Amino acid sequence: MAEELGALLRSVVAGPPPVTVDPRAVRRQARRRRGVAAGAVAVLASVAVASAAVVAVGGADVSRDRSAPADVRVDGTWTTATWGSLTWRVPPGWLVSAPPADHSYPFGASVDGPSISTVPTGDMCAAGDGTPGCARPNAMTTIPSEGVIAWITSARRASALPDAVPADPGTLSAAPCMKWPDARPFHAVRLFGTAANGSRVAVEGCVFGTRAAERARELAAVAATVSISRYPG
Amino acid sequence: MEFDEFVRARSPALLRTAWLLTGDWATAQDLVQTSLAKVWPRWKGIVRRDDPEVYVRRVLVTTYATWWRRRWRGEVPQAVLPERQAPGDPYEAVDRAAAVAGALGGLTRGQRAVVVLRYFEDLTEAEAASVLGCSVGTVKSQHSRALARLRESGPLAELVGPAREETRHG
Repeated sequence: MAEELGALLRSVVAGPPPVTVDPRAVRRQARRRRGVAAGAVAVLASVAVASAAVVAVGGADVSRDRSAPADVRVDGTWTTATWGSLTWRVPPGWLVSAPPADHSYPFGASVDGPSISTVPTGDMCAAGDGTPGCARPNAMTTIPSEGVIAWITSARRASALPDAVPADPGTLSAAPCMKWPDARPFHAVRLFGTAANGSRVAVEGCVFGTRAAERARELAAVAATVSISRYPG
Repeated sequence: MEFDEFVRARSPALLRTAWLLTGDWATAQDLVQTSLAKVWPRWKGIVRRDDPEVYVRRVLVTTYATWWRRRWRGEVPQAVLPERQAPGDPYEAVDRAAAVAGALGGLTRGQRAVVVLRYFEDLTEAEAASVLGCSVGTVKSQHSRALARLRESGPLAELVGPAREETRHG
């Protein structure tokens, strides 16, 4: 019995897990646990991103939104959001949340979050020991009947990390929605700069409800508006 | 071993254990990250004194056992336990995982931890007691109650078999 039960347990977790653990995210969480200001050299990059997390509201140059889907009009009613060197726009009424850094997702990402949504996500959920931050599928405490939640992620196209995400993290696209089997996963990636010296920005999210196709087009339009200040044009 | 190296090399194995404890990859991810965050400040000392993986697993299981109720716990879909699948069924693996998660989900945290440690980690009762920080007697009683519960669970009942004196090592 013991061998059979052991074999059964091993069989259900065989293969690579669909989630990863990023050592940098572990250290961030450890620092939050200890209440230590995140000032160490080892986390300068992530701190720079977090401290630059300013959501700006205002007009924008809509001429840069040329690649938006034809039936989604990006106009002056859309809100502009800025996160470090990233800028993008969201439809009227959408929310941009800047939760505390949680899991770096995908692994190796230099920008993880914020989330954009049509439904309130509230405070980012807390891990079981009360530490702020948790995995993406736990970001909402209730499943919306209709709406969108998505995340903006940026990473180098060519990473020195041996197991960092590939340039196109398409294989990860369904992972954020795995807890919501009725949600429609959305994934779009934008490439900036060169393969050797450039960045990619992914918009990944989950769409709920009967207006899924329309919401997906809006998300595609959001992805089309993304720009990075160091890659003008 | 450097901490980052350890995380990259061993987190998949830790995540598998965590999934068996939680039945949910997202919560498993939270559990592993939280456990590693507890360990990281003391990493150098741990590496000098102990096998870091044993230490991390101990923290993982005790963190799981003591974690308070999570806000999203009610959302976790309860698996509908499937009937036995036909050979070659492409969904067999998914159904099997759901059945195991459902059966383990019917156990208390302590019982579940004992089952995972005994049958997945292949620890003896004494080793499991050491990891959980409890007596061997407690492990034995949790083990006995867990098997009794699994016998009623449907999908795992056949594997667990009828009630009898367990003779497994340890």
